[in-house]
Amino acid sequence: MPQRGPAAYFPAMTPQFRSTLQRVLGMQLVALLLLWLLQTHYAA
Amino acid sequence: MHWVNWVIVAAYLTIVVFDGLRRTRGTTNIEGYFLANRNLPWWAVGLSVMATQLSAVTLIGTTGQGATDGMRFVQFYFGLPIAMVILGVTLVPFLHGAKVYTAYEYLERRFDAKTRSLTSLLFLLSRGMSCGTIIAAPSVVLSSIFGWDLVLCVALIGAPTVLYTVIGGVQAVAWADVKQMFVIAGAMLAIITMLIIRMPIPLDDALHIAGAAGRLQVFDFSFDLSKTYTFWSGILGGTFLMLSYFGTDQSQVQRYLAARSVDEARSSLLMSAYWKIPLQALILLTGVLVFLFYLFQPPPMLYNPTHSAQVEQEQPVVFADLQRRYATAIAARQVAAREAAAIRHGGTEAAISSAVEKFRASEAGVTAIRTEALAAAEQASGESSRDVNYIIPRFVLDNLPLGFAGVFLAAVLAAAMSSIAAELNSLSTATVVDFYQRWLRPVASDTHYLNVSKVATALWGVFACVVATYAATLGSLIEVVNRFGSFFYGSILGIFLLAMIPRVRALGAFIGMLCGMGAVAAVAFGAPQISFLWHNLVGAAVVVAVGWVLSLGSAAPTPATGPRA
Repeated sequence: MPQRGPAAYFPAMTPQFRSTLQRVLGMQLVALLLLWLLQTHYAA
Repeated sequence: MHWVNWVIVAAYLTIVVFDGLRRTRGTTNIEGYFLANRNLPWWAVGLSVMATQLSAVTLIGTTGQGATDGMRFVQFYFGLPIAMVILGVTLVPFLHGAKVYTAYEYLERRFDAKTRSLTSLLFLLSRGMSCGTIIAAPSVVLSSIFGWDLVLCVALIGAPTVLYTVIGGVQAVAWADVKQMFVIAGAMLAIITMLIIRMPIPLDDALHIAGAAGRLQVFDFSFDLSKTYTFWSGILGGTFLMLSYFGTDQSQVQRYLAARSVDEARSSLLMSAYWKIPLQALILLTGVLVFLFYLFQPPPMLYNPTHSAQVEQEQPVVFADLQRRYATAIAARQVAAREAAAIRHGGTEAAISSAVEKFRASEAGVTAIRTEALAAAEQASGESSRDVNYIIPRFVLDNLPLGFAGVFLAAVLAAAMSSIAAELNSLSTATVVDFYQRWLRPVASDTHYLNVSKVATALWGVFACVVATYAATLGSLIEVVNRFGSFFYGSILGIFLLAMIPRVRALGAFIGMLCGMGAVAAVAFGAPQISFLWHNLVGAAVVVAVGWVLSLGSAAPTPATGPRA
């Protein structure tokens, strides 16, 4: 018997999880920015 | 090796093994043995996930790659945070809510037994072999560096790991991983600190030289499918690879199935999303600092001492000539590096540019001679040189104070053991739950399944050690298996994606999976210039497209039959 799809679980995207996601993505942007600065600052 | 280093290694092994054996509480049934009664805190699961992914190959190979190739490998991980976010709202709540033991078990509930058995079998085939290579890679390096017998090195890594994994199950594995992650991070920080302290010129000047040598080049925005590490292959191909690995590979799925709740499972994955790129950048930066260190200290021409001795013995004239030219080139590079660093303070723009060009020319001269030496090593030894794996061990042994070698060796063992333990535990789970319990003994007591699980873990451990011992002769076979494994990784992800589309039916999904594997094989053999990072995307896309199209004629599914709660 087929199962119910993922839509039933998308309530998992709670406000709390959404703010965690924003922090994760924010941290990644900061990490990429730092790597970019490392590359450009020390480029000969 | 000095006895102090041995004491450090022995202390590490004793603590990890005894603590692993101590954590056998709750392992009286298979839910306790395989999933820690679904009661692990998120931070322990998160560290375990990170430790599992960080193998000894990462620790010694990636630092070496940083020294020879710079930072651009970090692009490989750009898709990881995206994958974690996607998994956090899709597969993780799906699998955790289904209360399954293996990811593949869910596929039988959603599709049918043959889809479950095929995906689980493919996992066992590829992971069984790769577990051997995870032991073999550091064993070969340790054997060559210390001159120890290969079997001894395999036993040093394999025996304690198998012991605590067999007895303690996932509890022992996860808590050992936590400690091992701290050992690895501590060793890396200690090495970085020593590198900075021992740098003969100011760090800022040194990093400018690294930049001039191209070692700090991180981003490559070219959309070239033949290049493995570009921004786009990392973001697109890397996302699909990480989705496959963290979403469908039992060695990872089993970690977060052991978490207390869906929220804790997601938090554990988000820990990797937070820390993986900074950690990987730090590991590569360590390699860059080693490169800078060797600008001012004569480095070995070949870091692998066995290969160096083989070339010297078989081609003494060539070796002497290479050594002489290498010494001259190294001396010229050192002078050029010092000049380039000094002229930054007060030199004109033209003078700085000229000094940098001179340094780059000298660096190219060193690289050219090393390329010749590596070719001679491959000819003399009859095997791939893999010299990059020996850079950081040689640096630690030759240049750092007493005790560092012990700490570094403990970190290499920790990195290897954490990955192997998770693999053995997941291999045993898939064997027992997806095959033994499903096909051979559907009804038996928990004690029976627990004993069978321990035997299965031990047998997989012995198998991995045997593969590792014969890794040199099995080299091509392992390569074939790994290549074969890469054909279905994206396809298995495709199957899980199809599982989340309500209309898709079992037959469509199964045919879609076969088509996905065929498509990846066609791309791999028909267009070998396309980097492997794109294979997962191709496989997943074909599986989803074929499975969805073949299911179009099916009736809409009956609702309200969600995963077992």
